[in-house]
Amino acid sequence: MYDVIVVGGGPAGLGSAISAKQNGAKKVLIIERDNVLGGILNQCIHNGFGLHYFNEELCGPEYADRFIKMVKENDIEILLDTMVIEISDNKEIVAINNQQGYLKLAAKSIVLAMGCRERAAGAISIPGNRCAGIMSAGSAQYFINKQGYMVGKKVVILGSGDIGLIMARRLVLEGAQVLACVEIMPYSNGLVRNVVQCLNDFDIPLLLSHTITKIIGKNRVEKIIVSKVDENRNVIIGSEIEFDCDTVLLSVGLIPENELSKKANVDIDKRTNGAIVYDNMETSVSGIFSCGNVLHVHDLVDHVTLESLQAGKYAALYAMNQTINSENKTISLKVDANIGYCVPQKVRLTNLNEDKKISFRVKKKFDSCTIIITNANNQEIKINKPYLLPCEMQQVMIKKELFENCDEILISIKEKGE
Amino acid sequence: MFDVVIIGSGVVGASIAYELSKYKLNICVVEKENDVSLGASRANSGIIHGGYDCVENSLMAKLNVEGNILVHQICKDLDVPLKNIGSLVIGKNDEDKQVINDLYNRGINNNVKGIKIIDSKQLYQLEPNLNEGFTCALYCESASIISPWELCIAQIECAINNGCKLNLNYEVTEIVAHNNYYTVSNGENSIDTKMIINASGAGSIKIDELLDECDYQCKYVKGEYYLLDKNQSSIVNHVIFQTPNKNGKGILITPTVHNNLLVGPTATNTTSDDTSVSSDGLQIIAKQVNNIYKDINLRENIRNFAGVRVRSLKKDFIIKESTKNKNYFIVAGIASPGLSASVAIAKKVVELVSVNNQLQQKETFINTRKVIRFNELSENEKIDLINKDKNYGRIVCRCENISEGEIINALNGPISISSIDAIKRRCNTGMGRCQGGFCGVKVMEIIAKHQNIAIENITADKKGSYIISNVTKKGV
Repeated sequence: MYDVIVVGGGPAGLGSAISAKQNGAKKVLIIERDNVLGGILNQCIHNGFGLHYFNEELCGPEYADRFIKMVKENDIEILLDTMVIEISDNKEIVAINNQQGYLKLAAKSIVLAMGCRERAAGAISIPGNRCAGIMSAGSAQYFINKQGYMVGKKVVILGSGDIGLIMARRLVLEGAQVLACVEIMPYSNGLVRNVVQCLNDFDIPLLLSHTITKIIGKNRVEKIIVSKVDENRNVIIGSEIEFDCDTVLLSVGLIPENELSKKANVDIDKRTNGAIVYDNMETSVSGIFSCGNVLHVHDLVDHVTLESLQAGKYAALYAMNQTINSENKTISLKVDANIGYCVPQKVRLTNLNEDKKISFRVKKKFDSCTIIITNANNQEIKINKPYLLPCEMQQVMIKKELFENCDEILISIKEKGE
Repeated sequence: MFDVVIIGSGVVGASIAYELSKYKLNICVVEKENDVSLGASRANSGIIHGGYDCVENSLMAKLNVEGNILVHQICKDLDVPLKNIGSLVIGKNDEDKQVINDLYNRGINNNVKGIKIIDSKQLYQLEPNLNEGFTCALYCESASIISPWELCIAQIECAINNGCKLNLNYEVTEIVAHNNYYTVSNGENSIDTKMIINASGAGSIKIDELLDECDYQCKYVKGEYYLLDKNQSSIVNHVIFQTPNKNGKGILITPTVHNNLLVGPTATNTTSDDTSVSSDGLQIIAKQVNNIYKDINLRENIRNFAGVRVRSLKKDFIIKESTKNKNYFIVAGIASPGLSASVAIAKKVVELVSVNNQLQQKETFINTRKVIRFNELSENEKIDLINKDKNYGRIVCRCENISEGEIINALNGPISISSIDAIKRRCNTGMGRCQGGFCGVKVMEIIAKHQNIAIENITADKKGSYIISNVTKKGV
């Protein structure tokens, strides 16, 4: 019997396993489906990682390596090349690999850290042919950075998520032409620093309020049609631009991979596609915790790490029987119509010994505005912001006092002049 | 010298190869693509129809009803996924009710078993998630869903195991008729054969013209589809047809044997090789689907595709021996319900062939095929299998939980394959919600290693659908 089993050996899994061990769990296991630890960081050879957590700039594999070393120093067990196929709500895990075969493992607590996947071409129904040369930006990243293979010579990128932007630069550095990055929204979906460093610095046009309306190619992409869209994202006829290209890379969103969580009967938030969690990162199933991109998609790995340390800590405390009964009274965290979601979604009354960090994302772009956090007793916290963007996750600390004597907290956005 | 050359390895060519391989014949199947089942056979609704929709006394009606019965045993013998879920034609008003009555009567005349007209109460018991307002339906118990490409692959594999040859990447460009045999050529290699069966689907007229044949005309009709995530499949229990009216048949909605939900097809005239999807087509589907089931969410789409069906202007199948060229058989215009009828079409072809040719049954015909589907095994079976072969312990496709062992099995199969989609058709890798985003590259690595070919030469699908364009600078 393990104290804590962590499903996933990416940044969230590594952080939570280390934290579990350091907070008293004795027998901790990480199960990873790949043959190395580190998850997607292994193919992120660009820099920009660790600025918040380590106060220095690292590339992906370096960032992962620091945690992999800590995992090894902390005497944490690891199963590589192992796929978890079942998790039951009584915390039994079925996993298989080609060495030990079929494994049934029990744990006092489980941390779900399976990460996310990229939204595929099918999800956005682009008219045209189903030829080769249409690929997610992350798959291209794997081919180029891990395998040393190029996926095309003349590329258009659809969507301006961070991976798409990073890959635009990467492709140019490897000798490909990147003709444009096409984004349906009137603003970029990636971090500002990535737009500047990956597109602007390489003269790659960012076509905002545009989308691909047709892909043409018999067996491989030969040509695409890009059209302008209006404010309701309807295609404007007559605005078509043709690009001769052999490749379309998609960077159109990330989706938490919660198939296993669902098997364990974990309640899922339709807004995040991740688990609904309490302030200790515990899901609706007692003793099952969730963190990182499987919980909600983050912009920065540093934030994933911080969240995973919380999940690992509380998973350890649960395993050590120091946890609070989940049936205690809870405070709901609500958001107004301007905000897409917040995590955690609930705070336990019995766990009010510390301030709470709340993460959320706005639904649209705001210029000069105020974040207002209100409790049922009309006590307020106000935070002024020069701007808010959907692509930048916000985090606010809410003082523990604000939670006292109330059953609901509301986070809202007020635009200047409203 | 071959006794028979079958041109085309869609489900019709495959069924014919399977039936003929029961006899002492030297058979060769030639296929222009790099795998079997790459035309209409892989892009259709995957339905074995009851047979009430075909015009009375037509070849279509006869062969649909026969095929519907025959296909069950073949699927059992050759381990092809088939589910007998039944179909419903749903109606709202008196006009619909009249059409449903007509269909029922036609079904009875066509000898369709297990059809009845049901009222709204019975309908909502069968389909509780159906939108309100439907008042009656034609229920057809004998309709089934099937994996069309697996029916095709299974029959070709079985034929090969019984001595049939398969030449992939062989596009027939020339046929010379001699006194009592033919020479078929792709411009490089020629094959002599006593008989030819033209089962080349959308290409049938092109083949016929090589022999100055062709006394029929066809039109090409494109059908576009949405294939939805497995989380949508529990909404619908049966194959759901709308009542046909003056605007046409409308789209159908059906679960697939792989537990997805399929919505479509449209019907637009096109050319023989246009399988692109159009925004107009997708909109037509989107407009109709929520009028039937409000809960179906097209945003759960995992893939759009289109297939081209060939309709003869005579509105019936064409299955005959040429009047000009003895022992040249034409199987053309196999539009819907071609899949349902395919195995009966093959029996009909055997009948035609045997008119002028003495056919002798083989003493031994290997009529079994077993596919290991790891996901469907019990816990103990999984344990045993991994103990026997460790490759089953390595999961490659994480959406569908497909193991490396299954991929290696596919590569060891009788048909030589080297594309990602060929693996997908045989073991469902990349069929899930990530559509091969994670496993595509792993599948490529396994193909490369197993077939001993460079990873650069592996295609996504047909020839020319390359994935890797060149190598990186390798840090130089």
